[in-house]
Amino acid sequence: MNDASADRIKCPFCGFEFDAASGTAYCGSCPMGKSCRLVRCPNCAYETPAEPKLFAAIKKLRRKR
Amino acid sequence: MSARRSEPADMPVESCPACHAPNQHRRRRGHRLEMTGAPSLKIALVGSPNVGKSSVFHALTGRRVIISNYPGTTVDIFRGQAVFNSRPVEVIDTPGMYSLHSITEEERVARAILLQEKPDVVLHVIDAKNLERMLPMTFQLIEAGLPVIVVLNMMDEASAHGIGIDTGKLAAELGVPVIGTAASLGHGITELKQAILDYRAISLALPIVYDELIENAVADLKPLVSGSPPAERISSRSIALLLLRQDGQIRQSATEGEGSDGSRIDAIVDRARLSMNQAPAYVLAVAQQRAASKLAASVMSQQVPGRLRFGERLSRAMMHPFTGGLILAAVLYAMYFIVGVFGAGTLVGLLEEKVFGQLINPFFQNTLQNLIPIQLISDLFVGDYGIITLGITYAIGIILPIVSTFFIVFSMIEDSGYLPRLAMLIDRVFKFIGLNGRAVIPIVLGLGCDTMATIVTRTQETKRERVITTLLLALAIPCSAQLGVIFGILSVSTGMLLTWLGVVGAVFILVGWLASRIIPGQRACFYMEVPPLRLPRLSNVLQKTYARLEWYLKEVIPFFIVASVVLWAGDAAGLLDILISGLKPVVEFVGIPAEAAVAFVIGFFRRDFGAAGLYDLTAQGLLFGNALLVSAVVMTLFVPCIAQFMVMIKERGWKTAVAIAGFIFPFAFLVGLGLDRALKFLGVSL
Repeated sequence: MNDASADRIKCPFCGFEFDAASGTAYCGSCPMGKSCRLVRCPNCAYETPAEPKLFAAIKKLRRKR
Repeated sequence: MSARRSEPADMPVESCPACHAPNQHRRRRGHRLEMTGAPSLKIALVGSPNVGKSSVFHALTGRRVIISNYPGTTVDIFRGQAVFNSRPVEVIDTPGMYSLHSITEEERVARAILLQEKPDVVLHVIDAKNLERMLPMTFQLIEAGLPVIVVLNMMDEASAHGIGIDTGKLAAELGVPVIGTAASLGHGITELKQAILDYRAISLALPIVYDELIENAVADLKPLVSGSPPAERISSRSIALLLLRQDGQIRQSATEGEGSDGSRIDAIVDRARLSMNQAPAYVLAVAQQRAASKLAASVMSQQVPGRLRFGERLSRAMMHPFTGGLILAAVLYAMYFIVGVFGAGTLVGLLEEKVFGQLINPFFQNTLQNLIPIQLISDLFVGDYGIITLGITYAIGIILPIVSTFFIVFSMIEDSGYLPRLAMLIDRVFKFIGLNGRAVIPIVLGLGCDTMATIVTRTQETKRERVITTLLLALAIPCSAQLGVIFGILSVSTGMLLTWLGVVGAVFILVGWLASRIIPGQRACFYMEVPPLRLPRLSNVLQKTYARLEWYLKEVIPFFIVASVVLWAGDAAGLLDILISGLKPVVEFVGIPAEAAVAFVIGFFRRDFGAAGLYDLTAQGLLFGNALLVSAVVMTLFVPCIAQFMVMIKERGWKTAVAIAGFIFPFAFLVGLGLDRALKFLGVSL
């Protein structure tokens, strides 16, 4: 999970809010860690996808308008 | 509760009693005092996630905030400065915690702040709508003798839900100040600031008297821990209760004091544990929850408008054993219909049979066989194990439509808030098999990818639970792609699907139950905050589905290509034939056609790859009826894929990993054999 954005993420399992950057605690031991964009809730370890670049770009564009 | 202690003015603390990190903050605070020349207050905010701690923090501090990692961890801590009535104040926002008995790193950090930084006032921020669920931690903070003010936050939302709370009565019962706030609107903040400045404990009330066995053990432990480092900050009673909860960190620091006797402490804890039917942690949690329910009932009133009650009623129904079971069955049926019938039936039929079977594969077969005269080389692309005809066809033609529909459904379930309610519902079943509801997180994640779910088992509290969950993930939890393909191949008959579900579910419960009796260790408790239910948002569902698909495709396509090359090379060298002929007698013995042996071999590369192999055989008419059901059961229970196996070695050690795989391989075929013979004996032909 490289490249996680600095946005706040709300865990869909326990509702804990955290920075995407702090959701990478388990990546070191995962064989798929380098390719995925999933972040783990630091509170309950539930995994959820970080905001895709495409969606972030669309949001940015809409904000500019 | 033991007598409330006033904080020693100049306590010589060198390190945190809980985490042993050097106490840097006291020096920093002294430095600030010199600068301001006025006595300073340090305030710590504690509470569960989602109670509006951040809103209270910002309401107290404004925008002057410093974010830093807590020493030795990756946990973010927010610190803010403020001035209340000319008095400088430092406010620390701690990570969410459910209990003083820490399980997660965040909870350990929050507790370390309470112990190490010695706040002058601890604000326990509570969601006023969920007072009953949050009072147990208030009791623990009061038992610990900490200088607590209860902040009933979100009072505006509580009012909107028709909830009224008698704060005066609650304060009198708890013996600590209670202030109602709606921090996001700024309501109650002035009163809170004043309460902080005026803080003093109202009484020395003992919030809960536990049963005799607990109280006797506490009485025996108190003199042994009264001189220990944690006793400089929290009461001996609280330390004794944490020891009875088998808190390793507290046990370590409690035995560091001069003249401490760790073996006597252990002996008292063991004696208490053995004399109870349930784990002391469980007994304590139940007692605290009962006291919380009683107190909440005496201070709360509720007048709920009808239209607001539907969500709450639905939420409760989802967690009730009977209605929750019915709702789960409905959710599974909807998933089967969308993923199995529509995804694996309609969409795969279109993509695999029409697009790949009639257009793409024939085109490449004709083109490459003409271009490349050597059959061995053209087979690499368009042969039985060709990159295009096997790898790409399986990845795009079979797996992609199935996982797409699965991810859409899963994202909707996830966004609705159903998953934490499912955790509460199946907590009872999990308790029966020696696990608690916390295990639902890796189990649910296993339905996505068992490899990553195996890593998440480290969130389990005890080693015993970690081993049982790892075993169950490897044995009976199919990953998303495998689950989708199995839904697809069994969608020909509802009876077949229900039988598969029954057999795999029975294996899950039976093996879990047996493992919990064989593997030694203690059961753990489960606490969880349940976020509100809501209608899934289209943007969230699309975003999550897209993100998961993007990740899946990036991972699966290269993997399927590599696996195709390995299989092609194995086939060319004759190794695959040897492996398959070795597996054939076993496969045939359990009533599965010999052709399915290939699917089981490739299933070790990836479970979904193997399941796609079964799908292919079904589409060719080689696998049907009872044999199809038996194949699906054996493939579900079959040895974990190579990535999961590697992670099992890393997480649990090679002995445990090999033992688990060594058990699963014959067991999967044994269950298949039993099912085949049972169907034959009963004369059932599906």
